[in-house]
Amino acid sequence: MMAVDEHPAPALGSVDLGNPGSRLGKRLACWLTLGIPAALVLVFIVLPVSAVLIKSVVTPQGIGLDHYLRFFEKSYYFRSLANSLTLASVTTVILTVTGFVFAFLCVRLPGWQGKFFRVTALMPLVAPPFIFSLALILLAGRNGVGARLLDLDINIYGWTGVICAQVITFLPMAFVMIENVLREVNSDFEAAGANLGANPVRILKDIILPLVMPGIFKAALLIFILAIADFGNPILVGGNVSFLATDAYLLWVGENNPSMAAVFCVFLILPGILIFILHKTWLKNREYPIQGNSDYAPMDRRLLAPFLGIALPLVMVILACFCVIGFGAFTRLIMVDNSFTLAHFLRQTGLRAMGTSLVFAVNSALISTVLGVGLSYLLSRHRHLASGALEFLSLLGFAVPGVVMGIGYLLVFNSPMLALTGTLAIMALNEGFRNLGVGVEAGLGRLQQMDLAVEDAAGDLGAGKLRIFFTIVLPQMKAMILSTFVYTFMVSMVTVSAVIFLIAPGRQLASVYILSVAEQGEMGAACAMSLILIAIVTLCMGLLSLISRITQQNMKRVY
Amino acid sequence: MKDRSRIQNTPLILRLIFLLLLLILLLPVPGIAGGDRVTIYTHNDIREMEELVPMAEAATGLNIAFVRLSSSQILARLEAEAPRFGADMVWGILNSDAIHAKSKGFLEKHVSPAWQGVPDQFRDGEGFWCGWSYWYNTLLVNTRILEKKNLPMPRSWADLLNPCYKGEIVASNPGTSGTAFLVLSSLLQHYGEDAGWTYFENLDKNIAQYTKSGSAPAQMVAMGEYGLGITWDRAADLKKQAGFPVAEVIPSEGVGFDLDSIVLLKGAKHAEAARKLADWIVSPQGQADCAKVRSRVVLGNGTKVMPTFFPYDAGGAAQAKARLMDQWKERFR
Repeated sequence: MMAVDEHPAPALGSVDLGNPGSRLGKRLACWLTLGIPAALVLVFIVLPVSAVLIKSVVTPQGIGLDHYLRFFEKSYYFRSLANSLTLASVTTVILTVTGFVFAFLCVRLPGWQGKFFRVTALMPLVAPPFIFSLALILLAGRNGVGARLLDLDINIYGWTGVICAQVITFLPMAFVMIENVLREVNSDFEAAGANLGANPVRILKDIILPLVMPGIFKAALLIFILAIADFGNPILVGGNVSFLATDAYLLWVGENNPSMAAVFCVFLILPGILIFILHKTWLKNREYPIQGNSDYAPMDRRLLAPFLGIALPLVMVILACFCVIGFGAFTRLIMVDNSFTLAHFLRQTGLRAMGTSLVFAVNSALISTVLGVGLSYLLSRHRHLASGALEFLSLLGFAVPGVVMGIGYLLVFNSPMLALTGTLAIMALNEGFRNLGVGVEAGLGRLQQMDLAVEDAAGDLGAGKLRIFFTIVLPQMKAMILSTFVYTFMVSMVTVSAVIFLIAPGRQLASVYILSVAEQGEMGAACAMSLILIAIVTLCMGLLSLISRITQQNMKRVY
Repeated sequence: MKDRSRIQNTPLILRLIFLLLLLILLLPVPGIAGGDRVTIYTHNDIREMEELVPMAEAATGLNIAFVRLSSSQILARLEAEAPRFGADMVWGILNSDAIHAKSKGFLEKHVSPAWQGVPDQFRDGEGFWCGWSYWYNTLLVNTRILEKKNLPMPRSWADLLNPCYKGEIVASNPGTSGTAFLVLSSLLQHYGEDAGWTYFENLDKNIAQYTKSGSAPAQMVAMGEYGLGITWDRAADLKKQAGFPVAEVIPSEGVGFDLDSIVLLKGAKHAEAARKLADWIVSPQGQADCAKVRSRVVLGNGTKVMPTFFPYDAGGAAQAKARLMDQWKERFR
């Protein structure tokens, strides 16, 4: 995430020089442009989260903290909080290091070598997140490939499994964020260091790391939020270790204890919000102006060896995961009867779910992209009193774990006034607003880089706000809009945690279908459907990156 | 320059937006054409539903849309959605949950010749729920692992306490799994609560892990992850048929059984269609079709060997659930 920048942007309506009547109209229009997104954010993000908060303090006697007292009284409740915090910390540390290693290799190695690390680091993004838990069971379980071929006896269920699965699942996010920072490092500093006789290790330690530290720290915080909110991996390979997100789900669906589930939700939300506040206050303006030359010297062998030592084993595990899924899809019963079959691909419900998923993902990605980008423009160019609050709230959907949003939506949208449950629309809205933060953050980041002078000049020449937005701002944001759309589309295709509460008859999603068959142990069907899902997501990604390439060429020609 | 860029670039964006809008138009498509629609929740395995639904659609002419949830999830859904349920009926709900749902006033009364054709012990006297099949707890054993580790074949619940099975038994979590809750509540009813909890405390020493789904232990045992699984009859059957090196053991003391029930939900949008389906499921023809996927149905399967069933009080279990779960977590979490 990037810090919000505080341009001395013109206040709302200050450029208007029209007559009083039209000024009033413009003022109204301004309030509407801000009011409508604000209302949407309130209804689809704030309301569900508040419903959960309220649920946690309502007791049979009225309002009180009884449920919270109980949470701290019972060691089995409290322990899952401790476990979740430990898990998130460990995963964050591992991922910050591996993410940096992958990003560094990708940025510094020439040609296809760099690209190779980029592709492998991003690969996990196209698969449903929990599929790596499945793959790890098949690979390293007590009867997995590892146990069979290498006579290993690893206990994959529990800490080891969850941490491994999370590292693979969240590698793309860590990679992308750290890569962005690394690409901006000015090679002049390094060249200067080298000329003064510093060795590559010293350059890394004393020049590169300090420069990118704020960016890496931000990445680490985001990973922490993702890890603590993770649902699919702990539920598949968590074994007997209890975690907040899974326990909230189990309390809600299993023990019919919504109040305690709500308390768990509050503890799930807290770290995200704390970190977010940290981001916006303490971390603000801590970035160094480091952009500049990017003619990096080739990577030195003293650095290359340890970096490859960290990256290559993980690359092998990721590739092995995909291989075992492919293998499982085409075999009758993986590891037991390895004869070839296509039967797993012919599951009617699964194939129908695939179509539903596609419609769902396009719609939710549209919501996150269009609304997110629009909102980011409003937030960065038309700051006023409520901006800070609105930005915080729009990012809330991102910081709040899926389980919480799912429960919140059930609580809110089943009332007669807002009756939307049971429709595909509510599922798409849920996912769209959960990813709204992606659009907003990416938009703010891009807008911050853009030169305000062009917009001001257009304004001085008499262009209206809409015209400025459509002819100057939007064309410059095209690439970012496309990548936001692609990203949120992919995330929506494979999402589980929130929509699992909202799935209605005949509206089954492919990702939830896969989790469902996997839970019942139909590995073949789970692998086959995952493979189709992976293929669809990869195809769409390729298609859109092609479009974006054409668009960018177009842009280069013009400017 | 700027104007040129506008002319050259906008069409591409427009084209893209147009393409996406076309995709949105697909939204209403997933509704499948043909026949009266009926929407159902079910905890039946997806595999079973993929066989049952086409048979039911062919016989009734209805168009059936279902969503599969775990046993406990169904009740949680109903509680959250009441009084506006997202489905017309539930085909496959734990009997204890059906009783609970009835007491909450979630259910629509249904009195029909088809339901009355079901033996009295399998249906609600007032017509709020009706059994369609039943299932019971059973043990699944991986014979290859037992041989390799030289472990004896267990015969009873008591045998499971043998320390030699330490780390080899996989069970499921009664919080999420109907199978596990049946194990817990039926054994507590069988032994009495004090002796029962002592049994589970001793058993816990041998348990490798508690899974979320009651079918998962069967899967893990079949895959050779663990030697012994506490599961239910159909999950065990499927693994045997699939050719895994497994054997089913019905504990000699007896096992808990649960009547898998059908209920009609209040305020259903397609009430007539739901009644039609509910009647078909327990009709002789429907039961013959159900028997293709379930080992025990409520109409006539006298030829099959019956295990000893504990006399199970599903209503009592439903009432005690919150208390039992607290005690379970106190001990095992």
